[in-house]
Amino acid sequence: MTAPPIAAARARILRARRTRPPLSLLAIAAAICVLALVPVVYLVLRATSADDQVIQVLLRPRMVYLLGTSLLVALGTVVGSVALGVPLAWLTCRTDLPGRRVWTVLVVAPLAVPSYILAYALVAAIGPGGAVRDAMQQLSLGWLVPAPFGLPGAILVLVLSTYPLVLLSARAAMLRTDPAITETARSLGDGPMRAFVRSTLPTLMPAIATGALLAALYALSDFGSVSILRADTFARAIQSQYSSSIDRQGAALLSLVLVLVALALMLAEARLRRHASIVTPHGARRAPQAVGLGRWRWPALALCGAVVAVALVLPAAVVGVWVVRGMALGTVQVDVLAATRASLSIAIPVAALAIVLAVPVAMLQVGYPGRFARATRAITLTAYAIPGISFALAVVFASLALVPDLYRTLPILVLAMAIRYLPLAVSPTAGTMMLVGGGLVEAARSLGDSPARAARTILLPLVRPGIIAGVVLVFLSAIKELPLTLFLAPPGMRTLATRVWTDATEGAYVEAAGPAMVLLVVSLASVGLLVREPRAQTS
Amino acid sequence: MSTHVLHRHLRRASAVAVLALTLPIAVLAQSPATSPAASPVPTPVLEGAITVYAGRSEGLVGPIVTRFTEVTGIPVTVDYGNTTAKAAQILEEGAASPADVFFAQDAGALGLIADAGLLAPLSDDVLSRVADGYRDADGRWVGASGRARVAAVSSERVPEADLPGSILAFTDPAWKGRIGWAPANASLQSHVTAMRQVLGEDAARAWLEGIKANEPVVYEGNAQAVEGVASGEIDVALVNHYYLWALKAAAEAAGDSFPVVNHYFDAGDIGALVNVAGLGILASSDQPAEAAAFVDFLLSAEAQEYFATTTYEYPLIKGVATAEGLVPLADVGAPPVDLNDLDDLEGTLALLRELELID
Amino acid sequence: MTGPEVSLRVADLSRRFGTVVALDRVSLEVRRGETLALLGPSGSGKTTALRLVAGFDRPDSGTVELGGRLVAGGGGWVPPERRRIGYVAQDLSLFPHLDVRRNIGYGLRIMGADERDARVQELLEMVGLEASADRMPHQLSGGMAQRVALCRAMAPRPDVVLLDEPFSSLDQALRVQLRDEVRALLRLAGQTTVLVTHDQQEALAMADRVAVMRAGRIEQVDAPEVVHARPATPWVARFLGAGTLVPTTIGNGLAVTEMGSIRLLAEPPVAADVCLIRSEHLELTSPGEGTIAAVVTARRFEGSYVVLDLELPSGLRIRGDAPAAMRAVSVGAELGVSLQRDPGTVAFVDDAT
Repeated sequence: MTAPPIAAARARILRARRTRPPLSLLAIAAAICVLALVPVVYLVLRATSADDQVIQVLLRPRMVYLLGTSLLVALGTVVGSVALGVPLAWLTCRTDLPGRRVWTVLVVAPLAVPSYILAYALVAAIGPGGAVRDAMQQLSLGWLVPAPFGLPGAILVLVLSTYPLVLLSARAAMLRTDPAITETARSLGDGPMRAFVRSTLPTLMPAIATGALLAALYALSDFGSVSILRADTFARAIQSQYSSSIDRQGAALLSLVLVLVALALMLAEARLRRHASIVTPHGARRAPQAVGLGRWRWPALALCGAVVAVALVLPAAVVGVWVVRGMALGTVQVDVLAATRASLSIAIPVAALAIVLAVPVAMLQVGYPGRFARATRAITLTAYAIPGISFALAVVFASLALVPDLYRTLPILVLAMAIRYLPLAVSPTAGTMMLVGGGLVEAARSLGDSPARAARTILLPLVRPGIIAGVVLVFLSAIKELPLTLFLAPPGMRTLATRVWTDATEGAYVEAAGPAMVLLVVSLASVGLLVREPRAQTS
Repeated sequence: MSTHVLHRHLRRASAVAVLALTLPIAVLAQSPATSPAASPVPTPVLEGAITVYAGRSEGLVGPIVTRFTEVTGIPVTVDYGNTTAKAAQILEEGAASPADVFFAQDAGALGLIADAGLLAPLSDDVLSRVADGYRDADGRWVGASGRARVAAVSSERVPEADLPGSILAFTDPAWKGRIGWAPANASLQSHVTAMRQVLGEDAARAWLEGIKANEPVVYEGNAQAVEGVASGEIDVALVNHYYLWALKAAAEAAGDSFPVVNHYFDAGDIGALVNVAGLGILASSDQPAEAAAFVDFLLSAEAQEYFATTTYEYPLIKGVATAEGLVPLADVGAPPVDLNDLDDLEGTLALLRELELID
Repeated sequence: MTGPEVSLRVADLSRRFGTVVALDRVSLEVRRGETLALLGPSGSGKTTALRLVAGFDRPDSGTVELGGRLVAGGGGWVPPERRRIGYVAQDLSLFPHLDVRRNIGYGLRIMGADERDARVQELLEMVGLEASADRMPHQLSGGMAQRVALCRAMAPRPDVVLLDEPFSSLDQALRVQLRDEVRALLRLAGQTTVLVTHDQQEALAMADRVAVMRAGRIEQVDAPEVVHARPATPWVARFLGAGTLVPTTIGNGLAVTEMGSIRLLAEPPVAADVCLIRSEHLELTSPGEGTIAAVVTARRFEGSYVVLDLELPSGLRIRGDAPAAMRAVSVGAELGVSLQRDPGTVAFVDDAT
């Protein structure tokens, strides 16, 4: 009887689960967990020290209204992102769409565009003084142009920012589905679309739901674009409470509520993901036969083109137009250099610190999976998933209370961001480590290497692709980041992100254009670096 | 093209792009963030850099701050923002605040910080340059420039005769949909505080409710509101007097018309409130001498000239004339409001929040 | 191979994981040059024991001595990199970024370059892989990879080589071939070896001694022939043998079973009341004089054999190979069963153990 290699790996994992991890790994992981939890503790403390008046104020109809609108925005985002994400996934995965390979990359690329840049582009196009609105007004057609403000605009921007999440999730599930199911349905008389809808789509539901929940979480947490678009959501209210109240308690309480909602969504997503891996069939490796689109390929291409145009080309074009206008006025260059310098002086140390912390955490998760590794994972994921503005507020409270000398200095900002984005670095690192296998370290030790030397000579070279992916992911997130930078950057330091946001909120389109362009280019370039074969990617 | 090749091209292109962007930046990163000393330093002792929390807009005060550094050699880092937000931030940060100076857009915010014990007393020399009504009774803050509350109105769509003498008349339904304001702006909040002080809570509340019933357009700031009048979005904006002048000058320089005029309210009406933008030195400052130099400079003839002629505000020291075309301060007819009494910002915020005019 | 007589000594080794007892006071000795197989089903503790010897885990109690030196227990601890062991994991763990030559030479860092190259070359020639020395692991076949892994482990001349289910990923034919090769190789080098496996054919074919393990304890340690012919307990008998335990009464030099009597040449264990009857002990004929009637309950064609499941009148089920004449019998047919005249070695066990 042959035991497949899977059994060997599983045996090793089962065994490893019972071994105690070395003290050094435990210490590092424990320190990271403490750093991640302390801000949340302070948020809870500030929020719950509320006196009755504040609580009353928060129970006003206005707050219920805000919760309602936030949920409405989340719902709209979910509906829109599923309506876009699933068909696009199907088109790029299961049909003979012309230029399929190019479209596969393009439809996912909008992930690189920060939502507030998309919001800025929208406002700079059709908002007051916007390029398109101006042009239309010249033609006396100004009345045709809708206003971008409010819930519809916010939902549009959020849908375009989050549909790639649904798309990627659905696509991954589609790739795993046994094509024989659809083929069987077709042998029983269904046309290709009908066969897909009736036989495959139901099995994809868990994966789609996972993507949808991620989109909802994103929509609830987002504050950059909703404040530019003046949509009344919870996240926006938190920011305005923060800046307009003398006592930040209200903001803390709102933040806590939002954190709880986010946690609920996360738990739902985790449960769904577990269900998904049970239900989604693990079928043959055979590639399914592509569905012929025939004359439907034109509408399909139109859909792909339209989505890419609005989500990718439009922001680039609008930003470009305003950069040109700015260059004519000569106001753009100086600000951009300083802002870029500032952004890099944050993003590069954050990426470096995150990966340094990620390697021991990944080693813990892969080599010694057990209670401790699971706890570390849960805590670091929480610090990542809770809304950015809540986390930023929490860090402000915590740093003022614990390390006032470091408040609003670069070290505390870099540390907070590195902790927040740690899972982005751990995930690909742990993924490649798992592929590489802990058995290699044992083999090296049996041949005379100390654990450190074994990690250096054997593990690190093989894990390099995962580490690089982790560094790029964290760099990309750090350079786009908004709330932490707004609250904790040293006085006078203005990054690309904060410049775009403050200028866009004030309607200063020209001033926002230069930084927006740089951000777009850096984001897209980073995503380009990340495009690899699916094998090496992890969820 | 196979996926492999496509990916390879993409990766190469992205690597080049990122490199192209970051390399020059890294090279340029050598230069300091703030301007270096260019002129002789008056007192050798003053070398430390200061941080200013400014509730004023960068466009308006940036140049005078740069000028200060040129003259004294003291580097200044400015954190611009909304006055109320900055005040809240200072209160939150307490002694840990990195700010040395608070440059606020209105007296109410300064009073609030002073009452919290966070401001250090200013020198008599500085305080004596400004009239009694424009500084803190306890010497903790001083006004730097004056601003009158006005209604910026469209010269094309609103005939002079229609304009009311009292700001309270804007609650008339005739103005429905034609008014614009910025409730998040500290100047308006200070104005409401004054109303509460002088007219009483109920009258202030009634006025706010009346304006709210006229469905005003909400703007992020005063400048946007005035631009709204020019573009025709609204007919009337409740703002400070000086925005009109700066925006009008900029528009006319570009060859556009700017059909907006300031309407001053009747003498003694609460609408004619005169407030001050002012300065206070944080008690926790590590550079008190440099901070004092900053306050001193902004109350010098040069800076006051700047406020008068460039930003079109009212200078507060003797010997500096108001810009031409402005209604002189003496003729504005400000109501008898003691600026010291405007420190109940919290109460105003609570009222505005209750009426759902701010979040 | 030089060194102390006993290369590996394990005394009272115990290890538990939570409430599960993986090893319960296990003691063993492996002599220099000997190959010991740890044989048992999954969960028997054999891999745990191997990993404790290697140093990838610490025992709760007991000691491990390697090459006469205390490496675990008794207040001492030597990490795996300082024990002189060779270790081949189930999935071989060849370093994917190093070629064959550098994989084999990995543990020879201390040697000078010339000495190292010479040793690597020696091993390559021993397994016939000189031509593949520059290949990368992913370019090797299963059998080649297996040889490389073994060479790598043996290169530094360790006190003990530890093999964890070495051939489990290979197909049947390759296994048998490789098994003989590896056995020859280890013998030639005089290498002390401990081999963990669940496959009794492998254990019996490769080892000088077999330790049969069950639930963390050693049931029997003996030469393969002895374990096979004289299992110490019914469990060992069942684990190793393809046979049935048949109740027997012993007296007057005879062992009487349902199917017939066996003349005893030696004294069986005192309380033995079952004996292990294998298919080779049975004679299947047509029903008749001197046989017991049995009904065929199942028939399985296995190429050279036809295996029949038979039910005796007492209800006892036994398995037998059909002789040429019987190959065509069908299920439900009646056969006569008797014992061979000369059954050879039959194991007697006390069923109470």
